[in-house]
This record gives sequence, C-alpha cells and structure tokens, in this order.
Amino acid sequence: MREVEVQGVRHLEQSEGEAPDAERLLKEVEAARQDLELRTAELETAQARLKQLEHRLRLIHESRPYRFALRMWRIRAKIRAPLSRSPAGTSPDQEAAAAETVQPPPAPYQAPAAAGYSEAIAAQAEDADPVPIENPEPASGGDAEPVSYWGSRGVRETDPDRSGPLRAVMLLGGLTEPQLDSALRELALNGAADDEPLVITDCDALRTLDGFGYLYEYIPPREDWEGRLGRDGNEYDDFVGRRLVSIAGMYGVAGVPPTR
Amino acid sequence: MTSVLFITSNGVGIGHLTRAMAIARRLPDGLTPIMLTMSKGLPIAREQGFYCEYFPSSQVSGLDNPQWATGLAARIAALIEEHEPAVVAFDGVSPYAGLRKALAAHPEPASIWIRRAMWRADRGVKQLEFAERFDRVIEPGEFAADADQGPTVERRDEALTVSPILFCDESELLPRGQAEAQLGLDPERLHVLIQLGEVPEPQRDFMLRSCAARILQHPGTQVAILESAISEDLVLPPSVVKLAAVYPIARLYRAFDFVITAAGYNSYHELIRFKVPAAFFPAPKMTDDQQARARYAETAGVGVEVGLDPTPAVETLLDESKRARMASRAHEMSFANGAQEAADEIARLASSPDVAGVATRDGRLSLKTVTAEQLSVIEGIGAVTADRVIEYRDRAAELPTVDDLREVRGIGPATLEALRSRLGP
Repeated sequence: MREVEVQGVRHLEQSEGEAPDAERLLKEVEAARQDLELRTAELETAQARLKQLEHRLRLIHESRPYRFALRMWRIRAKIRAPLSRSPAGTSPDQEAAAAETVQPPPAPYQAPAAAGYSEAIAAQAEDADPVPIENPEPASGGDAEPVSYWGSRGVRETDPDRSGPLRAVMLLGGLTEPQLDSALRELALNGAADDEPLVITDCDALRTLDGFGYLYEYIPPREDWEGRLGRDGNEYDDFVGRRLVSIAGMYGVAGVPPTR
Repeated sequence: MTSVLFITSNGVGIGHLTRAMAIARRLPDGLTPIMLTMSKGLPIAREQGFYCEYFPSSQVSGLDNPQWATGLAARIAALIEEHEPAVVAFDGVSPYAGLRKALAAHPEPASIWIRRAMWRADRGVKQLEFAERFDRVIEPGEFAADADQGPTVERRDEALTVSPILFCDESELLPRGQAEAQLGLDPERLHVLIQLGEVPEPQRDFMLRSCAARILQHPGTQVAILESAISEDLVLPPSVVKLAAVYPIARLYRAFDFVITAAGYNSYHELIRFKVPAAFFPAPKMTDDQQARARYAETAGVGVEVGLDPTPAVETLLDESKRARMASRAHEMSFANGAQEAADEIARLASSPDVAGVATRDGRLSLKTVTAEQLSVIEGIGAVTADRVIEYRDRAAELPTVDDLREVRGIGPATLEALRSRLGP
C-alpha cells in the first residue's frame, strides 16, 4: 500500500502495484458524498415522519373514542355478551367460560332462556329457516336491572327480491341514557358493516339514538305502564310481547327472540 | 279507566305535541291521556308525566309509504283495542291514511282533528276533505286570524274554533326574580332570549350570530339562547348563556326584556299572551304561514317582524319605550287560553259518546236535540237549570232561539254567552 495524492487529497492506494485511477476515485468519492446526502435527507424525513406519527399516536391514545374502545375491549374480554361476535382466536372453551359469566337478571319482556337462543340466532344467521314469529311468553318475575341482549339476525321473508341487508334486532332494556350510549358505541365499534340494526329500547333518550343513526323503536317502561296508566304489571308483559311481534312484522324481521 | 288517545304528527319541532299536552293537562280527573307521538319530543312528554308511546315518522322509519301506513294503522288499532279510549284526538296537518284506516275500523271512540289554521295560501286542500272522517274538528285560535289567507278559512264553519291554545296559563309564570335566579341571569342586566329551534341550521346560525353580536354591543345586556329540546347540541361562545333542557320556557318568560323567536304557533301566542315584546322570524314551512303571522304581529303593534337582516328588528327592541308600547298593546289585545276550552270539549265528548251524533258540524250542540245531561256540563249550567231549559224548549210552540233562553230562570248574560258558544239551532 502506498500513499498517492489526488487533487490535494492524500489517499492510500489499495491495489499495490497498479497505477491509481484518479478519475475513477474522484467519481466514487462524489457518488459516496451524494449518497450520504441522500441518506441523510431520507433519515431526516423519516425522523420527521416518525415524530409526526408519534404525535398522532399520542393524540389517539388520549382521545375518548380510543380510550372507550380500549375499555370496551377489555370489558368484552372479561365479560362477553352471550350473543356478541367472537374476537378472533378465542377458543370455544374460553367462549363457553365467558358466556357462563354473563347471565344477568333479565328484564321481564326480554328474558330469553340461554339454551336454544344462540342456536336459533346462528341458524338464522346462516339463512336457515327463520324462527317463526310468535307471541313471546312473558317471563315471570324479573327486575329492572340493566340488561342487554344482542338479538336475532332476522331475514325479510316477504319478498326475496326486495330483501335488503339482514336486520339485526337489538333489545336494550332497563338502561339509563349513558348505558344506552355505551351499548350503541359498542355496536358501532364491533357491529358488522352489513348490519342494519333495529334497536328496541325502553330508554327514552331519542337524541342519543338519533346520534347513532340506527332505526329504533321505543317501548314505554313498566313503571309508566303501572304508574301512569294504573295498569296491572302482568298485562305489561303481554303488551310488550304484542309490541315485539308488531315491530317484527312492520320491519320485516322474520324472527323475534324466543323467550323460553 | 277512561282514556283519551292523543296522536301527534312529527313536524320539525314539538308544536303538535306541545298543543296536545296543553289540552291533555287540562282534562278533568278521571280522563287519562295517552300520547302516541312521532315527535322526538317524547322525553318531554314523559317529563311532564304523560304516558307516551312513539311511532317513527315515515321518513325516520325507512319504510316505503304503504308499509308505513299499514304499520301506523295497526299501531293505532292496537292502542284503541288496548286502552279503549273514549276519544281519539289527532293534532297534525294531514290525517294519515293509516290513521283514517284505524278510525274507520274502530268507530267507537269519538274522533277529533285538532287542525291548526294559518296554512300557506299555496298549500293544497286535499287533506281538508278528511275532516268528514272526524266527529269534530277543533281549530286552535289564531291571534293573526285576520291575516289568514289559507284554505282552512273557507272551512272554518265546520270547526269549533277555540281561543289560542297555550301550554301555560299566566298564573304559572314565575316572577322575574325567581325566573332570573333559575336561569342564572344577572339581575342587573337587560335580558334577551333568542329561540330559533325550528329554523333550518345555516339560517339559524346566521341569525343567532347576527342578533347576539348586535345585542351585546348594547351596554348592560345579557343574551340567552335556548337550545331546541330535540336538536343537536348548540355550540355557543361563552359571551352568551346557553339554555338547554328548559321546558316549558314560557314559565320563565318574565326573566326576559324581549325575545327573538321563530313565529311558530306556540311561541307566538305565548309571547303575545304574556305581553313579552318579541321579534318574530318567519321560519320557512311547508304549511304554516309564519310570514303572515309575524307580519300581523307588527301590524298589530305587539311585536316586530325579523327580515333577512335582523338588525332593524333588534334596534327596535333595544328601545325601551317601543318595548313598553308593545307590551301595552298586547295587554289591550289579550285573549283566553283555548286549551281549557278544547279540554272541555273532549271531556264532553268522552262523557256523552252520543253527543257527536247530535251536534252541529261546528261542534255546537243543537238546541233541537240537546239533552239535559249534555247541557249540564256547560259552564254555569247546573242540573236544575238544564232541566228548566229543556222544559222551556219542549213547551214552546216553536223551537226557541238561543237568545230566547234568557227568559229561563237562572240564565243571566254570562250564562247566555256560554250557551251561545255551545248551542246552535
């Protein structure tokens, strides 16, 4: 190895015994310098982009919808509504265990027995013969604790040519306005894109319902029936049954959740 | 339990529902009102203590018209079968096919169409023919009736016209100090309320901004903006007071020196009746002629019409002497609350289902066929006087006129006046 000088810059010639190619080296140096500049610019761009993304991520983490979704997901991981969709990778055992943890005391007009209900929904979801419409039997007892059920995927059976998207019926009874809002947010976050949910509720927060843009029907709560009309509570169960059948007929929902 | 089923149309605001509630809250004990509404104001009706059911309007339901009409007919029929109301009262512009079908299938309850007047002159008259399907048409009175150019004017004879219907009576209004305290207003300042709930959004926002900006330039003023009970949240600057979930606002009107409002039926009549100087903005409506109403208020001297530029109207109302003149004029032109008259009529129909058959088309009883029992529910007529009237009629050689009844013992000028409004030939 020997030292050579090219344009005032001293280099070590690596190929001993050959004559230095000053022109070639000069081009290489120039190319290396340009490459360095390019990569430095790319690095700076990438750093700026990273900074932007980190900022956006922080904003997302701090946003209400993200925190809400995270919370909902955690809640769902612990307590899954019996008929809600399964997160990917959940084992049947985990599902069964989760389903067992969720048997909230049902509101009187909503009380589907767990056995047979999921099967009925699954059958309808696969376009099997729909569960026939029948007047649901009122359940005895029950109290007003909030409860929500994700309901049947009914199909329009009147005119197959005009049958639109599947109508998911969602019964939400005994909820306060914030609880209704939460339930609808969960539906918005996790509902399938092709669903057109029909929400049936005894919560009169119509503004909240409007805000989500779903179809909805309101059934007066039991306390109004008894307190404002002075009617018997047992008649209320029959009334709700008739209303559900009527709603199902009006919207072309083929089935209503069986209640026994 | 004897019930009255009120069915109210949707509309943009809560006008139909408010009018129905105004009547329902004055029904006598023993008559239970049941509401079926298409209005998003249902929670308000519940807050007021009513049993209330909801039926989505055609637009909201997403159903096509035949499906929706069938659903409505089934729903009303179910309510009639469920509660067996003595009276079904519909408040809306157009009696829907579903309603007509249900009433035809269930003729037992007496049926009433509460038909607000003041329709736009260019509005079609087809639905007015549906008046025949009802036992009674009640027309809520209009302060601006003289300016009414709409198609209901020609058919006023078929209706029982009552005084303008108001939710509140004047006795229910809070004194100024209490109202200010309830709303959190500064008692040292001049208070202005702006309520444009039913005005479409871009126009509403422009009006809110323009009016508030001009008023706040005036020293010592405080502006409150009422958020519609059924609309999206209003986003307002901190310089104004936002009033949300206040119903009925009329109870608090005394807190305000003047009001800028849409010229819808309820606000219009409440403000004039309670002598609150006001600027009336005519919201564009399919049927309701708010322009005529607003203009009439200005002509009568009880208010001022708001044009596209609200500044002149605001300037007028900022003038204390002009406000005083408006209040004084409103006092001179005061009117009764027709809600009680309408409630009395419904009670009468509920207590005497056969009344509908013997009444004249304008809702008055016929002196020729009226019974003592029917007479006895008229204010000022007891059972004894009612018997005397019947005896007098039956003894007369030919059918007496209502004015002739002054010869009956116990009937003075006031009672005769009451009889005139309730009895026809």
